[in-house]
Amino acid sequence: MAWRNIWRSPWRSIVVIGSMALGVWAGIFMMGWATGLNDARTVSLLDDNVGHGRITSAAYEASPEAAALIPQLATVLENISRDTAVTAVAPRLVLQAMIQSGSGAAPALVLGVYPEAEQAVFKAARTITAGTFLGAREADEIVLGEELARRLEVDVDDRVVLTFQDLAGEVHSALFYVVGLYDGASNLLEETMLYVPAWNIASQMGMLDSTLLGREFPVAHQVNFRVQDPYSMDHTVNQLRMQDSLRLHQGFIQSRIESLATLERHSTPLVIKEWRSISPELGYADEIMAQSLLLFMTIILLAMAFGILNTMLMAILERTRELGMLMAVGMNKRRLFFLIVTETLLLSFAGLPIGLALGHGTLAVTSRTGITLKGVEKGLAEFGMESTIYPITVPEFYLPIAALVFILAFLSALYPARKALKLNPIESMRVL
Amino acid sequence: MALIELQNVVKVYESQAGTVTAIHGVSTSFEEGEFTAIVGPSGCGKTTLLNAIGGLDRPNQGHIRIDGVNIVDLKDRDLIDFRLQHIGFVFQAYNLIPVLTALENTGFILELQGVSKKERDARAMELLEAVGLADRAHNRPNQLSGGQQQRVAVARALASRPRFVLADEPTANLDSKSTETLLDIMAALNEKEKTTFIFSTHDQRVIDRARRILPLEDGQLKGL
Repeated sequence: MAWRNIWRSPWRSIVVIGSMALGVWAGIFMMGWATGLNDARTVSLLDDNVGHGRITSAAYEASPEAAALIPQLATVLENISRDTAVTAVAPRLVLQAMIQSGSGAAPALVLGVYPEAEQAVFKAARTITAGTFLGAREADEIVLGEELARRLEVDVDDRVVLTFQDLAGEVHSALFYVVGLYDGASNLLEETMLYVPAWNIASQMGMLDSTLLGREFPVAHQVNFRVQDPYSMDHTVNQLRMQDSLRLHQGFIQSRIESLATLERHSTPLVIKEWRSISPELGYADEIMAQSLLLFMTIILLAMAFGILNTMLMAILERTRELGMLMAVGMNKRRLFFLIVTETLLLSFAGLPIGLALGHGTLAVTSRTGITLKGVEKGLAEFGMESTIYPITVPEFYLPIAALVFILAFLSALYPARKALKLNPIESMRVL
Repeated sequence: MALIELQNVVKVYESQAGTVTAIHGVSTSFEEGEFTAIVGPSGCGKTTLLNAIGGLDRPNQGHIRIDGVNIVDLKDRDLIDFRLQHIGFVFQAYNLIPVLTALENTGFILELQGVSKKERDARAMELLEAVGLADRAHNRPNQLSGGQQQRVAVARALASRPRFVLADEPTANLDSKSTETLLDIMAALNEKEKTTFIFSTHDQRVIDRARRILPLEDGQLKGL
């Protein structure tokens, strides 16, 4: 009966159902679009300098000191490289230093890198805007960010001096030749991060002994790696810690990087992080966006709810006589309330699957074709993003949206239902 | 014991024009199986009296006992249930539910009572046959004439086998032929199902068919 009632005024119901479908479609598309945009930004930052995962020693995690190297690096690299999910690995040394040029000085984060490995994992090392990236393994070469070079007023072929402490605590100064400038995803990155060959800096730090000289990657503070799909990493389980007990304290993409489990053999604990732990703000951005999108959807549906409320109020007014009759012949208030609420829910839910299907379909198509934004290419490039954005289907939002529709439809039914319940049978019918 | 007993029923309305006493201390009773017409001119209080008997309106004074139950004392919720279980209503304007078929309208009260679809369809069809509308069972009200709609309304009122049926001016909107047909049907059902009918009317054709007539004038019952 409730279903038939909503078709008493077919055009009015079609308009309400259509507007609900349109609202849901718009909301779903907006969610897919924003998710695509955010993912593009996240992927860009991961590619640029964050990486998908990182292994360090527990000692380095506790206090990032120069001496806190990864123990048995060769075994670690062998194990992680064996995993098919891991597509590239980049060991790094990381040091705090001061950089000086003829025009100034600045604090710097020195990355001692193995050039080919670094370029395989990080886009920043590939985005060389002047000169080249690092070449010979022990050369006195340095690659600066464009911002730092501007600040120090240096260019390719100029010289700079790095000052740092070696393992013995002695302060060292070393001369480097600028061979290239890179373009990072952010100015902050370009101002602080610079590249030197790992062999060079390790040698100057006194990290290399005769047993390490024959190895491709002798020392590292971090082993950064890429996997096939950074989003396949479990959201809730993002960290695996190798403790002295050689026990996995938290799971860490076990199915994808199973060989990491063999790291348990190490006698010194390692810390393994995924990108959300390395760069928490990226993970927070995902969560904040999800909540913002649901809030936006709530606002859209709230507007819809007022339309539905208005429609139901009109329906009640038009059927005053009939509702009076229903009460007169013995329909109790609970049943009448249920009738009005059911009508409202049916009216609301009729548009939901249409909107969801349209939204999903639109996202499915545009996720393949992409949507190109004209006129904002430069702004997007600042974030390392392309001007074509690929929206993403967002099935994880469909259930919350259905729940929102249910809640708002129910709430919008309350006032019309209350009006109906307050009707007096005699006054409503005027005649018995 | 009478089926319905009214004792000194008084109904007063407050209006902008002042206090209007619609019923002045009416006392009477109705026995089972009666075919009674409450007659009188417009405004004499017929509908008010029927509303009071049907539990749709509470009198300001007096008692109305149906099968010994004083419905004036019932709570609203209990009164609704009492109407559902014991009283059938036929309205002047038919008041069928437009989205339901004749069969569904006839079985509607049974649905409210929680009777299974199979049972209510069987009973509804039996009554539609009795009122001569079996072939229109699947028509909606807008596909029926006024007379046919009122016959469906009578069938609906009788579907749950109520203790009595209250019919307010049931022929007011009908032509002569439809009126005769409807009266024949109600008389036959009164005979067959032993259902008590109480009409309010000023239609002479109804008055002529009633076996008992209660004249009402200015809210008071008068002797013929």
